[in-house]
Amino acid sequence: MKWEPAECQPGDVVRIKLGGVYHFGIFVSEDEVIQFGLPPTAENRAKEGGPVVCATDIDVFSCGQIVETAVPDRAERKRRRSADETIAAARARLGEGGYNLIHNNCEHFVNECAFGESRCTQEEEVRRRWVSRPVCDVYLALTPEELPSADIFPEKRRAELAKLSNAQRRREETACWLLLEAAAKRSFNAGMQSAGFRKKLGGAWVCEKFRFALKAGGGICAAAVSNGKVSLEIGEKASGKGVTRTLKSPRVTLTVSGEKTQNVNFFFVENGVSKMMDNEWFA
Amino acid sequence: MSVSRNEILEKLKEILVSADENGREKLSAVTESANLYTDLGLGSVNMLYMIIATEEVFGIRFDDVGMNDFQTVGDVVSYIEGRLS
Repeated sequence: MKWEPAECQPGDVVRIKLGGVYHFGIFVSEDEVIQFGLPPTAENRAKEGGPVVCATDIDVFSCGQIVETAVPDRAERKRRRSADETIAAARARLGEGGYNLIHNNCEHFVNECAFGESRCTQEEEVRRRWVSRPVCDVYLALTPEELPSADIFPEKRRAELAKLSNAQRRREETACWLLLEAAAKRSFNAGMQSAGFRKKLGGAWVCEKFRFALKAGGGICAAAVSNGKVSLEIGEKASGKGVTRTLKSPRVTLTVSGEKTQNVNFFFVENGVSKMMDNEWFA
Repeated sequence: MSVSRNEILEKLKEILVSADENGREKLSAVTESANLYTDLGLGSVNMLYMIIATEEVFGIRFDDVGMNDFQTVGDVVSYIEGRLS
């Protein structure tokens, strides 16, 4: 659907932009624009009572903004109700309540009147933005002084760790793997058993649901999880790429690099609880 | 699903940072008493983003919600807590 600041015709779907969101209505005449709730200005928001389907003149609807008219594409024109049907559908709902910002708003209303289909492209776009956002979360914990007793999954990995003869390495790698479990759950809502872990021919562990990197050193264990390639370094930054942070205590420098490092979140895990780290944690 | 109030707040911080990366410093240290509009400067788009992301993260549905229903971060935490209980 395209939108143009064209002259409105009866039955047109119209919209105005207020702040970052659009308010929609069905144009009947300059004296009658039917909409679900008044335009969301600060003044209208302060009014008592929940939004209802109402009719106002074009000036109240537009709030001084440019009114745009929907121009349906060919496929939409086939589904589009006639102007009379659209207006009748809108008028039949005058006084109706049940407004919901996300699930039953002014855009759902106009689409139902004009196409018989309740949908909100603004909601769909925001939901898409959230689902496809770049994820790169780094979980940190102090390396435990004793070997953690919790079970490791997959079993094959547990067996590998049990075979490590270097006690410190065994402790660090076990702690990192347990940290990965917390990271998978929190960042990707994935359990270790459902994440699809497997060992590649080259010996590296990978998982289907997300990419990850583990590292230990300087008294900390780190697990990075992402929906793109990711790698971790502990110690001085080796290259100009990636996001580098130096912890205040213990004084350790950490570099995370990869495909989705635009917004890297750091979490500190203690007693099974993850806490988002703000700048106070870093030097 | 048993989630503590503190865990909800931590997840909400993450969502707010994702909605407004420029405000990371302020948002990652936010407390329940922070006003969404006056302290955090949330606009209508970010408000929508916060609500939709919250639905996705916690698997809940915001019913009977208007733009005006939440004033503070604590209001949102309470709403989520209520839906999860």
